[in-house]
Amino acid sequence: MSGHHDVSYLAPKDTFWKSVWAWVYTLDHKRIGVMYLAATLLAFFLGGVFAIVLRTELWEPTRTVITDAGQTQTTGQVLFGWKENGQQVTANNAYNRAFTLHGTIMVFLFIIPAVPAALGNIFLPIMLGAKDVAFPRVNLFSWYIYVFGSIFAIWSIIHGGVETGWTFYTPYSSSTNWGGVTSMVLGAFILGFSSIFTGINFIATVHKLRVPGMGWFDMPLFVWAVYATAIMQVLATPVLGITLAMLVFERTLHIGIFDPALGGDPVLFQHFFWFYSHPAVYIMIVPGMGIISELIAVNCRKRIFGYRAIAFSSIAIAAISFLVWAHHMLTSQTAALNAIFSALTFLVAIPTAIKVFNWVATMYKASISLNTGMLYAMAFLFCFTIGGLTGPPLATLATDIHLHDTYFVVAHFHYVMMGGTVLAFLGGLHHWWPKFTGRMYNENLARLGCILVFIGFNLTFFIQFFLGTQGMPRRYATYVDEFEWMHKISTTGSYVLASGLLLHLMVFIQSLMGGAQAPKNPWGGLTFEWETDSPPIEHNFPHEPVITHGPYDYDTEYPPHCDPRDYPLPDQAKVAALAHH
Amino acid sequence: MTTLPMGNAALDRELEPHERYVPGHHWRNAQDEMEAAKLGMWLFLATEILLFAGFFCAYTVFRYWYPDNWHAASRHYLNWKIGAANTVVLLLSSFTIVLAIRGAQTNRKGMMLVNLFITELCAAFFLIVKLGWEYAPKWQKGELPGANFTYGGHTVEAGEAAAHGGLIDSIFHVDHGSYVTNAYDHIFLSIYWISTATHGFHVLVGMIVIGWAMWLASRGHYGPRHYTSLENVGLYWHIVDIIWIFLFPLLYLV
Amino acid sequence: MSNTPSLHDTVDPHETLSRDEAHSAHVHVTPFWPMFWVFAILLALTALTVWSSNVHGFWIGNTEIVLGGTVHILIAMSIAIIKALLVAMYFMHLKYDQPMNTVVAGATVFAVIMFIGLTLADSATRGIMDPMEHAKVVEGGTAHRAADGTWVTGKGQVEAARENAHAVSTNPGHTPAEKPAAGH
Repeated sequence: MSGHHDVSYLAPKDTFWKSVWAWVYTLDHKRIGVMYLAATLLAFFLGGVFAIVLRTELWEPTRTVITDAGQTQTTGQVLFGWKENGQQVTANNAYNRAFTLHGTIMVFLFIIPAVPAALGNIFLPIMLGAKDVAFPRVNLFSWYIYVFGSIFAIWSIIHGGVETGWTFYTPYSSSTNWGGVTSMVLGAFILGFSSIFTGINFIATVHKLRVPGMGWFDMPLFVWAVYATAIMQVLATPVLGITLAMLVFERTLHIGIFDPALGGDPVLFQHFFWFYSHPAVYIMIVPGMGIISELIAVNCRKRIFGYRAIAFSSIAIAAISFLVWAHHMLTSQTAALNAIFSALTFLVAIPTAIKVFNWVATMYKASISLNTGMLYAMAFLFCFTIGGLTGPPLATLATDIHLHDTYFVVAHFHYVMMGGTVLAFLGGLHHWWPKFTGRMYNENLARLGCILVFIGFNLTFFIQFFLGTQGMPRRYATYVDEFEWMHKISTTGSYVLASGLLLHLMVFIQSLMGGAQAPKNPWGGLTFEWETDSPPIEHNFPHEPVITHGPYDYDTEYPPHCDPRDYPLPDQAKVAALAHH
Repeated sequence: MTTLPMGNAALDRELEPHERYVPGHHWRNAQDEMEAAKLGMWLFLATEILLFAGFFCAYTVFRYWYPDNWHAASRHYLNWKIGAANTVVLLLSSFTIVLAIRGAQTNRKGMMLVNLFITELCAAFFLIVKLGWEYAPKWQKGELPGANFTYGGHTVEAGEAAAHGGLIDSIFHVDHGSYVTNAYDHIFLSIYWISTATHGFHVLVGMIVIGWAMWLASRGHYGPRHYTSLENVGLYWHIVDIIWIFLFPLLYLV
Repeated sequence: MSNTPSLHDTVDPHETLSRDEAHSAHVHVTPFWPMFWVFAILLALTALTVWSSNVHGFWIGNTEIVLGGTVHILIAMSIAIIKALLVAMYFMHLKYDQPMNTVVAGATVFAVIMFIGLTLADSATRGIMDPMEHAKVVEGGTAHRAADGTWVTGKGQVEAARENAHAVSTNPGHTPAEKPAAGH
């Protein structure tokens, strides 16, 4: 097992077409991860464009353009020339389509696969000391399913659009006439299988491919988080599959299970949908939490506080995620169940708070290096805590009646998803970028990008809490004049946010074009991925690695491939002894 | 490791594929690989069970709301004898696929092939009965799901039920010989059709993968040292059986 | 597998030995007769399900105990669960296999029970647990519980205002404001 395998996994083959074929039919988890990363970043860009369109529309309270025919139009209608039965869609429907596409693309095409399928695919096997995931062919297959499902989703944008919101609530979704809904629902159905196969693969990998000697509590916390995510992916996603399949049957065969016009029950659809989609939001956030554990431990150079508590809290979140779905339906279900689900929902705060407290405790008295990854980890702590603490008002029955379907919910969701997952994803991307591309990026520009994203994000969404408490409902293209100044702040913030993200994009492109060769271990990490080359060789390690220490033993171990003088141990006596030796 | 050590005359022959099987490059040994494959299959079966849980959940809710309607519809539209015959056939096929695995474990190719063939026949029998004796007559009589329900010459118009509000129960009380159709017969038939059709689709997929396993078995790919995919095909087939074990009494009997 | 550690010293043999789930290479050969008896029991249970579903009731002395739909469904489901357990334990080798597969099956059953159980908990209590749903609405009153135990709700100012607004907007003399986007 040497010789031709000792080249970088990115190395091209002899001819151009062989190189292309090597990507198209690759079984290498790193290449599949990179393909996932490219696809999800594209989806992120597309969803981001729709987000900017939404915010631009909301810059002014009412109509902005009057056509020659004397009709009023919104900016949304001007930006999208969608036709509906041969006619221009109404202004409000154009807005509905924009926010639906923003939601569906961001949820199904970006956030769900972004961390586990992209970063997880690249690093989970390496962190376990394995050569590949358990089922490499299934892994490649899942990527093609993802692309196939994305084609359906993109098709629905071109072919009429969807305006149901990403939740596809019946009877609206079962009774709208044009074709976009069916293809979008089919797309989400197919994307679900991609997610399931990734989850199955990761669970089997964690169980069967850990390097000999690596016990469950020797695994990095990112692996624990992705493992907990995989459990939810496997147990929840099939219910989404059957829900969406039944919705497709409802639209095509009119089976009448969800459609009240035929004697069905639309609230049943909500149960079906949220049984998946609540675990789905934890599928989105838990791997992000795993990234944060890595970022904080490496950049604080400290043994992470409460390793087992963090590990078990991931599993606890996975378990509780199946018991809280109906808190999305506190205004549509019976009072008896409301009380149960409200109480169960408060339980989620416990494992989540355990994580936050442990991260903060790790940072206490640490010598923190403020690189981009760590800046993102700190931004995550700030935003995610706000997102988390605005959850209980929504779980409280009395206040939820007031806050339901307002901008408060929008702000809460974005503080957790964008302020949580996306910031963690960007942090992880910067943290591992030198490892999987082999190139360094411009640290100062990346830091500037991070600061822009942080400021822009908070400008955009913090004000929305106030909009929500004052009664601004979500999903409306127009609003009363009193909200105008708050919407203007929010829209300004979204432009700052977008400029920060574009700066990141330029930094990454610059890094790929002419970045310096990355060292093996730029941040001084102790987990397995920092022992191999940057970028890793085809089967990850020249020899099967040997585990000699835990992933966070910063108080006793020098990081590999680093100058020990740069990473002094707390125990100076041991340093002296080693120097003498 | 494609040849055995030299000097053993008894083994001085071309090895069967299962005897010279080597695990994938990223596995430490064949045992790990097989256990991982089985774990992966069990996780996949978990997704299958949860997929069908959607049907069972819809069934439970509507059964709870309209128990008498459900009972009458079950008795009228479905023939328990057909369901029972299919149950017996599926149980038999489960048993034979267990014997096929036993054939692999004890290195008896004939036993493996015969049992897989019986399994295949049972699956075909199941589908033929389903299509010929259930789906086709139902299609002709208009016992179709949801708005397609035209049994006794009556159609459910979209919006009609909503327009009647609470009077939905009275809409479909049409005298049809000895059977009076009930308000929610079309939803019972919706659940019947989508759940049995999805199950039937799984039987069809099962026939394809069992056929694939037969092809591999005939070419000597299964033996005591290696029969992972046969084992997984068996697991899949049993879950198809288990789902039918629940669908049969729920739809045909109670 | 190489024994040359790239960076570190030797492996602790204890750790290697204590690696969980390390099974011996022993293959469990499926026995014939136990499997046959399981098959026979499955057939017998199928017959029992069919028979029990047609039992109207039974007599104790001169009293007939009639089995209702709920009892029938409980009997049928109990038998189905026993059958499924037999198939899973014997045909699917859970009894002989690595325990992790049983954990997967158990977690699945847990998720299914939660899904169906809690959904039914909503569907089954609709209109029962919500006293306000059956309340009498009294114009201008305040919500209270009447002496006979029923609920009375008052039509509040907001609701009254909304009705007024609706009356205005449906009046052909007025031009209604454009309705907001139909977000659901």
